[in-house]
Amino acid sequence: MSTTNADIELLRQLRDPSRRDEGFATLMRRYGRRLYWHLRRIVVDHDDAEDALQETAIKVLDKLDDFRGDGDLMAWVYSIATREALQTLRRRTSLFQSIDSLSDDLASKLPAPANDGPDAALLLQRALLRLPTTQRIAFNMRYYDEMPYEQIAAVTGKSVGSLKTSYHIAVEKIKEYLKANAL
Amino acid sequence: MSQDNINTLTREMPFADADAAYVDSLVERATRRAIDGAAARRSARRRTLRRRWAVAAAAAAVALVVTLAVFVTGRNAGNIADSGALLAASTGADSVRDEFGFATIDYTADDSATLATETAAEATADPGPIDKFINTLDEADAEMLASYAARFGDEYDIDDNYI
Repeated sequence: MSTTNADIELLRQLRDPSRRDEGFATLMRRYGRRLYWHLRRIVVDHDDAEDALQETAIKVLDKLDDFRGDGDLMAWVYSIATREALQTLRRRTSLFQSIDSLSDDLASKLPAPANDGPDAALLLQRALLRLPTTQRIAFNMRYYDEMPYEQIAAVTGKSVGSLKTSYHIAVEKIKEYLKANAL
Repeated sequence: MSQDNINTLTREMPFADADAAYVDSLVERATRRAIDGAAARRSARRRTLRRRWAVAAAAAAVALVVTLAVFVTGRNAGNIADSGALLAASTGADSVRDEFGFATIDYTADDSATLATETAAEATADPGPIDKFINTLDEADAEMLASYAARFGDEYDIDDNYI
């Protein structure tokens, strides 16, 4: 996915030192809400998501000169956010502990189910947290953000083929979990 | 939950603690902090650069002063040592004191001997081009004085009659 016309104009602003702050504010207005939810879905905890969003904003602004103009601006911002989220998860692990082992800890941060049982959205979150982290992130970008595989590939650095396979496997695992836990 | 409910999955997140307006305010705050922080970091970088330049300039100035001081002190010390050696050699004293009685340099007979040896070595050494030129002038001077003495006698004062 290439950079949109709106992004090209935005990039022009970002590359002009006198209009950089204004351009950055526009960028955050355009992508900020999506970035928050992308981060929240990975780290689950609201405070962690807010911290990661702040770090992402600082890094995006600091590294703007490193962004190649012919790249996908949104994918570039997402890749920074994803790294920040993974970094947040790594801080919660001890030495030699994989971030994939945090699933129970992350699940405990989900809201408690209502009296009449967990709703579908909550159950889906529980199913997602059982996936390996990278598979979960790819699924989130495809399912929630509806990003094309090419754009997810630009964010994650993985091939489109492996992402499609990963998504398919993730969907199968989620279906299995939902059927097993459907009340 | 029935299979029908599963099929009604939406893309909404089950978090009641972050509605759209709240998330927008978070984004706004993060944006402002990043911009303010970037300005502060740019300012800090400029201050750091200025401080580094000031430190480098001060270090260069100190190095220059130290070099000059060492050079001048070395020359003066050499001159004092030489004059001290000559005085000590002529008076036989172990140290030389100035007209107020302060010791200017401790000098021993051993140093005298060393200086004498060095002076003798310099006398026999092959003179450099400048010394050769000075020697030539000295020789010409001596010849001229000798010729004046021959013509006008030893009492002739060349300075009084110099045109």
